[in-house]
Amino acid sequence: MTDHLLTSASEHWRTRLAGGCRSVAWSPGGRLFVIAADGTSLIDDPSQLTAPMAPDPVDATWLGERRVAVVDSVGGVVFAGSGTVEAQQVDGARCVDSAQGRTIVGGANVVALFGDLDGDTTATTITTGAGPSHALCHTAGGMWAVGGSAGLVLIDGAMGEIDVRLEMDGVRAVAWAGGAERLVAADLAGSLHLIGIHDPGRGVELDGYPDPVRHVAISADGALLVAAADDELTWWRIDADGDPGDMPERAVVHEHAVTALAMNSHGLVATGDAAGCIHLWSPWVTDHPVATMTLDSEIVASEWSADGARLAVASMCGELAVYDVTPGAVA
Amino acid sequence: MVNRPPVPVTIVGGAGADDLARTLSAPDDSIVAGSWHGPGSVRIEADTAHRTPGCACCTLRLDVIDGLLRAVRRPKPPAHVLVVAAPGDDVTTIAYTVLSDADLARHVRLDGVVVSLDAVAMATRAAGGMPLGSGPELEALVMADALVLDRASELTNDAIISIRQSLGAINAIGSTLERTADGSILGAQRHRLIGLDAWHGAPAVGSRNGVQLHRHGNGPSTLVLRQQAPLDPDAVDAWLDRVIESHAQRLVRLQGALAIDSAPARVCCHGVRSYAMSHSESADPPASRRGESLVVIVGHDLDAEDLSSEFAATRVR
Repeated sequence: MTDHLLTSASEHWRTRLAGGCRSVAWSPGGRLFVIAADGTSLIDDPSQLTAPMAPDPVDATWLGERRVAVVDSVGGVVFAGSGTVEAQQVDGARCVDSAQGRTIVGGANVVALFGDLDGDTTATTITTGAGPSHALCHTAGGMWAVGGSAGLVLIDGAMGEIDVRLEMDGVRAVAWAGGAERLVAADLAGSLHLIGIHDPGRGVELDGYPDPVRHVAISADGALLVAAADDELTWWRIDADGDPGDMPERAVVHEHAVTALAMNSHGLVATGDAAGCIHLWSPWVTDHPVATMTLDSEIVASEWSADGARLAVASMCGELAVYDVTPGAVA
Repeated sequence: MVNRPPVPVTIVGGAGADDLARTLSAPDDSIVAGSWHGPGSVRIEADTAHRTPGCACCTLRLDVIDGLLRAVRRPKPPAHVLVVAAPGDDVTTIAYTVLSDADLARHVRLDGVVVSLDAVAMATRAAGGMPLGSGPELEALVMADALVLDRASELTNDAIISIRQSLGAINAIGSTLERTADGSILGAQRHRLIGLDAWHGAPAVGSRNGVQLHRHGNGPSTLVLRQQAPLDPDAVDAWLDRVIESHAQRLVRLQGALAIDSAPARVCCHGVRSYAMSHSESADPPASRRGESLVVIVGHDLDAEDLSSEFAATRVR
């Protein structure tokens, strides 16, 4: 707890993308990619800007350290890097993730699976039955979770088929706890669904949110779950059996609606709001931020680097900042 | 912190919606949100979900939320966004989405609903004794703020007058205008379709007096309620709660300007289905309307007698 209270966040650099920011992604090795609303992008630092690569980008991810995938509501997915650019049509592409040498693009009632690192852009298309995709993440092995308007599906990427389909209304966010092999999905009806990957039919529903839960994160060990609905954060403590406490810790933590949320590998949580305020939170001090920063306008994306040492935050009007975050230490 | 006014949004529906929206769109100043994609547009494809699982009055268009956010969350937002409701799309659900989603409410405000009609097809229907529409198509006609007749130049004056009368009989709020022969909207007409701010003030029902119920076969009805006496605030609150609670799934549009006792300005309310919002009237009404309370309810299976007597009972005693 003392460690977290002494956390410091110092600005590494700050810049502005003329088109306004859409999505931020870190590579496993710590490279930064930011896509702007006009399709231009920033790679690593403000000195490296690219020409537009998509007309209306919505999400992006790194494929290893040398290539990126950008999804676009019109064109599908664009793979760029290593001197090549290739576009593939995916109907209604909205979200993308990459892991273990494969890339998954969530589209309109379908996902497209690509083998990515060697430039293999041949897709396996799987019909999800979950409606238009809104969120996805890699889970265990070759499994992926995809949230859509009509539910949540677990996809076996190796077999190229649906493993489980769960009916939910409007899944807008998913997160994965690898150490506990637990998945959490947030829906429009104001519920969280905590699901063990080996027995997805026996999930726990955490309901009672008066507003849709738009953002969710879970620690790698699955012991801490944080969710944002409107201007309120809730913190659920999960025991080793996957059972949450009776009630979460909850607090109205922003003056405006929370618009971005991310948790790092140390359990620190970053939240951004509609007015450009960014708070860093310790899971042990949930009623007061351990650090506060601001950008010029609504926060549209915040992402931690894989080692949890850097935080990139992007705003609607194009301001982009990278912070070096050091969890405090007692001498 | 950027503090900017919400971007007005016009929902454009009907047979020629896509073409009308692109015609109304001002280059470099507007964005069209629809299935078509080109310069100055964002793409949306029908995508529905429910806030309460299975509840029809909580149906949201998630594509509209995402598309509008992409259109306006920019350093320089557009002056106007036109959302195209493709044929078969439910305009009421789109209006409910624009009004009720909290993320959208920070960025946009509903300016109006414009419906494009093929005048020749309407005349053919009328000649064959067929209804003007059905289902969501008819709802859009009844709740629209403006009705645009396409291909009207191909009809006789009598036929146009007949269509106008038919539309006037089912829509108590909107105005009707004709597109010119070459399909373009006259410059003088654009201001009748864009920048209406038709949902945040008193409903534009002119001088229609007393209780009027417009019935349209199996479609929604329109009820216009008026009274001159100041209203009791608690009684009005309770009445509006009852109206929404008992009619939510059937409410296509609710809009009013209420002269609340001792309030400095009239209180305006607007809503669709289970959503309703109120605020002080921002524009000064004509002197003749200052003490007047006016409510328009568009919905299915309205009980005019009950609604009007309960509204009348909200006056200060």
